[in-house]
Amino acid sequence: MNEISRGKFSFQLNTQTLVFIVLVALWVFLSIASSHFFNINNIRNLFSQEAIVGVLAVGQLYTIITAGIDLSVGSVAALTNVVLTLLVINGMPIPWAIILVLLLATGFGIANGVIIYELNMPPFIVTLGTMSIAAGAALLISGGTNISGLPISFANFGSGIFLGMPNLFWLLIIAVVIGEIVLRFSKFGKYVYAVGSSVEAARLSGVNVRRVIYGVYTISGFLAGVGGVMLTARLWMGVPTAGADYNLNSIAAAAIGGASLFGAQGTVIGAFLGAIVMSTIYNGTVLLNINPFWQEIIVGALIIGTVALDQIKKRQKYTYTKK
Amino acid sequence: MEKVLEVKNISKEFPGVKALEDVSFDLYKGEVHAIVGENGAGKSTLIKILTGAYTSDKGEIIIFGKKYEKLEPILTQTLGIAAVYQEMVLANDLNVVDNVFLGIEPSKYGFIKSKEKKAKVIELMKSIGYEGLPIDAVVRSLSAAQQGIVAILRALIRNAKIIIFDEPTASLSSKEVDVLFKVINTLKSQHISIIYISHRLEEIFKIADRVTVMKDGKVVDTKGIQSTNVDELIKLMVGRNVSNDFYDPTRRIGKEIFRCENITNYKVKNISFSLKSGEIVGLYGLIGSGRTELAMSIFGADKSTYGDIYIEGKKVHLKSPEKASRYKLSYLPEDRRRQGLALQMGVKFNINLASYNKISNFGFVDIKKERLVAADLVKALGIKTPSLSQIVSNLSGGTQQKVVVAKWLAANSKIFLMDEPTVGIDVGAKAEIYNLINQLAKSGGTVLFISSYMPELMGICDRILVMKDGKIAGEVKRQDFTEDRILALAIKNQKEANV
Repeated sequence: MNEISRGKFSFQLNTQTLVFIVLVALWVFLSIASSHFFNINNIRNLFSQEAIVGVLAVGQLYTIITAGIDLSVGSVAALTNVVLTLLVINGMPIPWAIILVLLLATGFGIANGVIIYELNMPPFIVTLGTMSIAAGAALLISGGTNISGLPISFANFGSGIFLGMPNLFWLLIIAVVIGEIVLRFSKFGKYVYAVGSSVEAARLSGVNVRRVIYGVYTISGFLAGVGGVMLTARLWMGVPTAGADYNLNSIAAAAIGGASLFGAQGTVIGAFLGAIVMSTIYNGTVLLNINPFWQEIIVGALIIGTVALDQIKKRQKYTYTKK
Repeated sequence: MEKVLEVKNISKEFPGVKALEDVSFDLYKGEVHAIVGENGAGKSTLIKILTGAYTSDKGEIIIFGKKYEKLEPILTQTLGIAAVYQEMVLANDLNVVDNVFLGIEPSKYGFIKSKEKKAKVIELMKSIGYEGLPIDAVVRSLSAAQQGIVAILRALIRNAKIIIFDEPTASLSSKEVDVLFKVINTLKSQHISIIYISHRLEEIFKIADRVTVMKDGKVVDTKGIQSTNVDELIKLMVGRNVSNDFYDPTRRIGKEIFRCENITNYKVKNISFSLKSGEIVGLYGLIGSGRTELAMSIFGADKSTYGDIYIEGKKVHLKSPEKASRYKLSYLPEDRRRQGLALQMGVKFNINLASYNKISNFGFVDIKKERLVAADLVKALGIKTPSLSQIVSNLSGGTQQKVVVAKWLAANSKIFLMDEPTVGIDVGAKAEIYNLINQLAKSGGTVLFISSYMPELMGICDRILVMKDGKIAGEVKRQDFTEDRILALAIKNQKEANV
């Protein structure tokens, strides 16, 4: 029996372990190369940098496992950031304002899910559209400029430390733990993988595909809202253009962490590790005084490299069975 | 006469299945050579080897006197081998002319010479004696027969010397078949050689010069068409021992547990029948007769369905597979890899997929039960897997089918709609599937066994429903089972069949 359980578990660990090993190697290398790297303040900084993209990547991962994608997460986060800022500086109590913007972001997610499922449209196109709408709306209502004037409590929370680590990082940990548990142990999580593996097989097995598609995009929208609130705390103002990078970085994090855009493959832990790897690279290039433009190049190579590795692994399996 | 093609002792093996074993076959210039055999006899595999889609493991292929160890699609094209498949592989949104020339457009400085193309197509149509094709129409708007002609023109423009027809008449009316045969005869008179694959034996006597019968991946015999008849061919095609050994007379047939009335959708018309507990009912019909469409409709997977369904005497509305599965109904699709399984997922996952509802509390899966259910069923059904987490795409066809059955057993299914459950499964594993079907019925369930392989239905079923053109053409009870009778219902008009 024990043997039976090991098969898939170890396979999943493999993809994740690989990312983990890359991460450890990076950290060891940077610790040696720069005396500033393995320093509590730098690590905290790195983690709070990672926190927002990490939270978005958790939601992103759910959509990717269903063989979908959510290009709108970063823009929705930016819109959340702007709306939250405006609401608070116009006198709305902070808790109410946060609830309201989370509903707004979740609404974007629901809209994505409804359009994708009911009109049978490609997720890429639908979320490309909502990405543009959210980004445009953020610019429109902010007048295209940064909005300051938030109470100091936001900044305090954003830079706050709890049990030695940044508050924002703890929020990410909560999202990762819940995300992983739901994906791995809930009925919904199983259905997410089933839909990603084959929509038709899932449907003919009695899975309510509509609920799954609505579900993953709703989760993604909600987490984009959470990311937007975190962004507000970190920036201490409303920045309408803040989300642009997050759209693609959240996908990159999931991909580096072993998620397949063809669906049915990926874990929340993997996406979490993928996000740390990316933040480490950004952080490391700064510390090593490397021209910051190299960051993008290294991350790009890393994405292609990890996915290529995955494909090579699959091809070996394929030729093996073919014989 | 000159041999254009000769295949000597080729074999091809897939994991768990010997698709072809020591097959030899030849084709003369200007000859129509038919290949017949039940599903899974190896016809398609042979064709795929001749067109270069598969490579044979052993044996040699001689084309126009030259020996080849291995064929590639590009090579076979330049050699002049072309295939016309039962489901045409045409670009549906391009017009006839563009389809004919697709990939070999005559051009000057990169610009296509459209006038020349049209003229050539018209000339070709004349040469095959079929001029009724609107050459500017998009292929989507054409009838199945016309699309077949487009596929033939496409082969001819590439100077095909050997044309392979794979079930070309499956979706044609009898009038259209006549037209096609006229074209084939014209091709023949132009010294083009033809390999003709069909389930419809009576057709073969109209068109073929020789016929080769295949069975279980082997060639049983090759006969001149004059020296044989339908009965002999059927005998050669079937003559399998699988048959009666699998009938289980100890099954107790009880009360009706399923009944449908006037099921109608875009494909099937007014279908009514019932299933009793402990019963195994066959559903036979040629390709395109609407069997799968019927099963999908019953299972709630087709929204265009009208008609009533009663389960244990109670009228139910099965709007979705989700709903249907709650009424202990299950559908095991023909294409189990795409529709029956979450291929990249494990055995345990797939077995539990239809019953996560049952083993969840507050939305969370009881992982102990998940494992237990899977382990029990793996043992009970003899599912050969190295582990419960084994990814199912790597399992053999028979094992995969068992996983699909296990999935529905886990969900407590009683009414099993099985669509070609033994397709692509090797002989040994087939026997296990038959035993499994018997067990399902014996334990109070009922099985609607859809198959186009008659001997297996005759072997195991209590009665067989025969479909033709979206309707039930008749029902045959076990004591009246004869191959002719069933085939007659599936092919001929009802009046003729009763004679």
